[in-house]
Amino acid sequence: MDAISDYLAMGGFAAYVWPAYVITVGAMVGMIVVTLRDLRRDRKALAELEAQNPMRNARRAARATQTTGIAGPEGDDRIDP
Amino acid sequence: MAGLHRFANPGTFVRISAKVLPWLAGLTAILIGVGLYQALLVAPPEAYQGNVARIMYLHVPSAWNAMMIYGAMAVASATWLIWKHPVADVAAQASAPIGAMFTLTALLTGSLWGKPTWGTFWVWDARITSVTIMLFIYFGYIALRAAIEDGERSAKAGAILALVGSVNLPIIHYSVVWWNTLHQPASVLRAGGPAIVASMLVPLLLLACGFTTYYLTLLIWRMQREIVGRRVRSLRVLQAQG
Repeated sequence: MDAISDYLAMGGFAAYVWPAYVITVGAMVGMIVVTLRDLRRDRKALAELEAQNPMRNARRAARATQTTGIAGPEGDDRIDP
Repeated sequence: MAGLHRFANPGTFVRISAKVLPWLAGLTAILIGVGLYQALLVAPPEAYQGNVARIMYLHVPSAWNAMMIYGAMAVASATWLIWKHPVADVAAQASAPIGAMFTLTALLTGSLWGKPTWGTFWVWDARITSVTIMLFIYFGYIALRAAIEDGERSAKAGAILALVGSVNLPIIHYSVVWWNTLHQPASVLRAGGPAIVASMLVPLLLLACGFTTYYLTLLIWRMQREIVGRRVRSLRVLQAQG
């Protein structure tokens, strides 16, 4: 037990070392969680929109967003003019 | 150029990235897992500072990656300005929050390291000030992209801001040389090779590489999200128009 509490004390620097690790690892994990949650939400919204009017919507969206927007079914649209 | 143009197609990006993603994610887990184990349990306490120097294993990889990601964002922005590849703009936009996060963790871990070693959480010296400016450029970029609704104008404004802000990168790197500062000079990326023992260099490099593959993994997810999100927005606009 002493070895473990000695280790956790970090030679008296526990108050600096552990927050540094918790903040960094926490931020990195948190960003993955938020990104995957948003990705899942947007994929669901896209599936619903495409189900409403699949072909017409996809073609019109592809035409409407030429340079910066990204549209159309995956893989079958060339955005370059 | 015909070959390169294939990668400007988001469909191509989505297909290739889906194949690379599991390998990148697995590599990230291994590099960071082994790196953290080495940093906390294998590496010896630093000779002068003791265990507080273990903050280095997060502070330095965060700072390196914050700058590397800014460089990647600037290159992607230039690529968009020149060739107008939508995927380049998506890459720049998806990079900004990841770079901002690493800038923030570099500053926070540096602050936690500075208190016991320098006696202060914060000092406006050249290195810390120039990195803080990079954080504000990242925030400015994110706010600018969010504020402009029109896709092309948003991409253009962001790209110009990212390119102008890149003059800050060499200032950050040389700040410890050009100005008197509390911050120590480079011990790894210096002429004459790294001045650091192997047992400390190994976890440092493992975590630096792990943070980079983390960036690439998260970049793919954020780009996929941005591509899907833009489609959702344009479909909603079309639907509103009837």
